[in-house]
Amino acid sequence: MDARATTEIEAKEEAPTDELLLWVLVWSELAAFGILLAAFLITGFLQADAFAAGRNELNPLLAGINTLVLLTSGWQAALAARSSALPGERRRALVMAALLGFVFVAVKLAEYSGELASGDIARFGAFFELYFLITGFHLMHVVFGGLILLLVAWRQTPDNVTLITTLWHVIDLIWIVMFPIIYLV
Amino acid sequence: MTDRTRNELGRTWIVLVAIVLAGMSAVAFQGRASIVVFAALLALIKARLIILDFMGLRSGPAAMRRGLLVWPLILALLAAAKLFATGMPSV
Repeated sequence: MDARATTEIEAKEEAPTDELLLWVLVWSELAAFGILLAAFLITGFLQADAFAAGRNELNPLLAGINTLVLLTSGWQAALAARSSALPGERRRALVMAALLGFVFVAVKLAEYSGELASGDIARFGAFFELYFLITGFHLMHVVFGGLILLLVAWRQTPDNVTLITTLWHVIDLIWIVMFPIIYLV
Repeated sequence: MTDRTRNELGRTWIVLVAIVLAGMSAVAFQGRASIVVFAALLALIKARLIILDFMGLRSGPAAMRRGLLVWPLILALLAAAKLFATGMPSV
């Protein structure tokens, strides 16, 4: 068996392991946010009046704008993850995805400042505790993911691009599901 | 890596933006109570498009695709159960 054939076999054997670790990471994120969102729904059932009042203090318009921003960022990440993308094209798409992630952070912080300025949020029971916990945890993921997108744009490898763009889509997916649960239901 | 083309991804993004704008218009013009179910359905459609097209799982491993599609569905069912138990939120 020549060296090239050996390398190909080793690559095939390593691929499922690499992908397995990626999906373990994806599912750990989905499990964590799934539990948090389930807790939000259950507490909302137990404290229905306080949650209804708390929800009226939120700004669904800014959240809707942020949904558009994050979807556009996800689109850029998907463009970067195309197997046919050229390195320069991939770099531009990764940087755009990161910058739009930071726009999301700026809009979310503006939304937080409006909510905190609205007065005594303790009167809404556990609503704002869970709201800040869940959306803040998500926001930290966006900040961290944005920085990693920039790092990968600078030092590209196919594995790193696949890893960060997949995780970025998961962050996007979590927001898409979180939005109606927190702002509407 | 995804095997979707630039144009295919662009079309998916346009559909996603149209869905978000439809949901935001419904919230703005029809009041919250009447559109909660509509918004939840739109979220499920958006989640499906992200999983299948942006994550490239339309042609990926079937078990992973099914698992990811079930995750938002479970939360949507839990949200529906909460709505059923507490009633629709008022505007």
